[in-house]
Amino acid sequence: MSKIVQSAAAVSLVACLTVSGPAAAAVDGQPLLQAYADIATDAYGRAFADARELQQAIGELAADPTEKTYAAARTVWLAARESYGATEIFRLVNGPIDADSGWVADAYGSPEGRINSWPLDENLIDYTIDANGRHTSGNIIDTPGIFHPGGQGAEAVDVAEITPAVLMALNENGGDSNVASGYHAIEFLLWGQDQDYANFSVDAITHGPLTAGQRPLADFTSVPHAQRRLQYLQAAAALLASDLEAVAGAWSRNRSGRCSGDATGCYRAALLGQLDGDDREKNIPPESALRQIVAGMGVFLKSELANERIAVAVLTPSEEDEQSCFSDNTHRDITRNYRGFVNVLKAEFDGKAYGESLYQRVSGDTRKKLDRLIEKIDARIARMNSLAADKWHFDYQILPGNNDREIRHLKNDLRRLGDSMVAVAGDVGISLTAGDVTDPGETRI
Amino acid sequence: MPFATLLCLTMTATAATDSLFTSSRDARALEQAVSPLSDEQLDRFALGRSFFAATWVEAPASTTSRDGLGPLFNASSCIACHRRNGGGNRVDGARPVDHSIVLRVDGDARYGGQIATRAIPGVPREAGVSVRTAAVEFVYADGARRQLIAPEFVLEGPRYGLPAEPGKTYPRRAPALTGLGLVERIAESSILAHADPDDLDGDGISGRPNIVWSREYGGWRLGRFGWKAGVAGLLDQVSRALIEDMGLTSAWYPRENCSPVQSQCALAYSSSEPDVDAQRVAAIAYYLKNLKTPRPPVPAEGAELFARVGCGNCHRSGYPVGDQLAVDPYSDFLLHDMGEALADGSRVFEAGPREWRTAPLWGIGLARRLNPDAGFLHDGRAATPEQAILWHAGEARAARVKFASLNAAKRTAILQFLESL
Repeated sequence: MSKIVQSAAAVSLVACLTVSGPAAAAVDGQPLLQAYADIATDAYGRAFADARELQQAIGELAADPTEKTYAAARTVWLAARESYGATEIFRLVNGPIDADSGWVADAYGSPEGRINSWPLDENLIDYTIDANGRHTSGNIIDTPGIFHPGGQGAEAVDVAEITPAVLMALNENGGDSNVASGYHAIEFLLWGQDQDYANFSVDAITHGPLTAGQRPLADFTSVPHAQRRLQYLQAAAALLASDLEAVAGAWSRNRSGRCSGDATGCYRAALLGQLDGDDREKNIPPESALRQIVAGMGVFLKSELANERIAVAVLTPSEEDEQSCFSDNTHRDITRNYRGFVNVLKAEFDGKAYGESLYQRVSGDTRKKLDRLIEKIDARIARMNSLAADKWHFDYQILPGNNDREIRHLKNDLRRLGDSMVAVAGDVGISLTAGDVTDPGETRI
Repeated sequence: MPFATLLCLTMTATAATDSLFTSSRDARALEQAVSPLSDEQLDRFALGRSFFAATWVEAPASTTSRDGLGPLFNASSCIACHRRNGGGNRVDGARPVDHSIVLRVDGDARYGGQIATRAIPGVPREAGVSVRTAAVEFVYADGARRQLIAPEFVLEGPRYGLPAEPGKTYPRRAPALTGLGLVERIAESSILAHADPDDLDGDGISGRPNIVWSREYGGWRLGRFGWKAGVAGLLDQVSRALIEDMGLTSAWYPRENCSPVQSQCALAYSSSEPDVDAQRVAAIAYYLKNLKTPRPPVPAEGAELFARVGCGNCHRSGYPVGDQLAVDPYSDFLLHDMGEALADGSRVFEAGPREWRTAPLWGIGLARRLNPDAGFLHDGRAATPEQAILWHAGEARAARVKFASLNAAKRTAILQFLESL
């Protein structure tokens, strides 16, 4: 609880800070954490189940590559993005998906970089069409032996057989853009490119405003390396499923007391303060857990969604700076990321109430502000979705004169909503500053 | 029972300036945006950050907005050398020379300005770089000893023969990107006020301004950036780094960095458009200008000793940069003869072979938090700020002698002061 009283004299401020303590007594965070953990458990459970479905569908494509199994794999990929998108709000809070260090990182391996990295340099994975209309070469698919990734400090990898372990060794080997695994690597293999290269600084698009990548089925049947392409897809799908299994496992409800042996459920139990004995010290104090969560919500909305995922794409404007550029599914990424935020704010998931929410605890003033912003954002997101269905995919919406103004407003409103977490925090009794919800940078170095 | 304490602090004009500074000591301290930024400003900042962090790939690639690397280059991203916006590595003779240290060969007909240690496939790199080190022992007045290393950088397999003047290669470590926007805001007159080119006051310290050609300002200007103050503006610096370090063309450097003898380099694909358009170059400079500057909440007690020993005669603080705002870069941004051991013979505009710009010290205490392998001085020969001090000679000799005559406790106090910056 802090108050700043400004005196009449312009240059001199008197700040009165109320320092409360012991802090834990002031905020009853337990019900909020319980709802948060339940949403996370169910959201990751769904994402993992969908990743398994994707693995299954890709297995069927590999066993019998037909237009039918190919289309089915793409449909399942799109569905899997829906559930994963709603989990991303659980990033940036030192949780199992992307903890920097400490026991959480050690136990779960922080697989985010393998799951959802982008933008990716697709030349690394498979052919692209160059400026002269020729297929590029020297990629993982067409190198059945020792592969040398380009880039900084890259290490050669034997890719004679493409396995999950090989993709792990390749991912971000030689730089951040050397993405070999995860949703977007799979996306590239299922859709192929969606742009032309007539102009190297401004992207012109030839496929049209409602057409995504058009990889031919022949890439999986008759052309050279068709089998390796299928092998790659299977390996990437298996790795994705096993990485999500680990994260979903971290949130499993089946754990109490000790945390020895495997780490299933340990993170959830630690967040809810349920570990005891030697593991008691892993319990995360409720107030710091809550503070991290609320700050992380703001950072995710501002730095990740508004800045990295929308601003850079619409400002450049460049479709390769949109997240799902091969499948033209970026509007859904944005929609589902935002939905994940609202889910946590209002303690709901899948239309069901999950208990007490931050939203219920805020002051009338804050709630009015939140409602206004959410209403505006909902409308902008609905328009983006309807345009994506019948007029322009996201890569066309960001072009000047199309829907770029609206997308800019969407980004700005998302920033305001991220900023509003400072007020939300204050209302529930934790202190945050504007700096806390402004991440210095999402870029891993 | 919860307790509550009411603290009332009177703050005079600090609220406005806090938004430009950070007291953070964590590894992300140099990556924060100043505040407040409007949506348009934040957009430029985010765009600049995105390209500053981008790993560039060779052209033509499918990532068209991030291609154009090379043909010749030293690194494929800005952050490869400016890790977490900090500076480049130290050299120790045991490990290979990191790409955050480049060898310059200014004006060499075959190699151009800088030795490119890497190249895109199909184009040979210019050379590798290795280092030989000689041990040098420094003995304090109280008998304490410190081992220093003097590096000698060596070209490995120079593709086009030895440079015209083989001895004239100049190692340059990537500097930390601290307070750049504030450095631009310091008035020329505030810097020139400390210049004393002929040492008229007889204190043994000259202090010469470097006057350099600036494309950004379209004329001759006071140099503020770079090891020899050879660069006046951040757009100048960003444009040069893009072409020299990464082989990325932009408006002022539209041609690939191939010298006339480098035929494979000349034959490599080159786009008719700049690799980085003007909006993006400007966004990168904007990003760098609008990063928060580290500032310790309370000066450590070694501050007074730092001044008394004479360090503060060149590592100056207290520059006015606007309404009731003064900044402490701990530099005079002037050139000084730093003695024979550091001299490497390079000339940059007015800067002579023995002269160096006083390195700003703000943020120096963060260096090793950002990059465990961080080095100090222009070639990374110093592994610690203390080692860097011990290399000071020439005009800085008197201050170094005073430092070396202090007892261990006082030396530690000064070093702790540096770590607090």
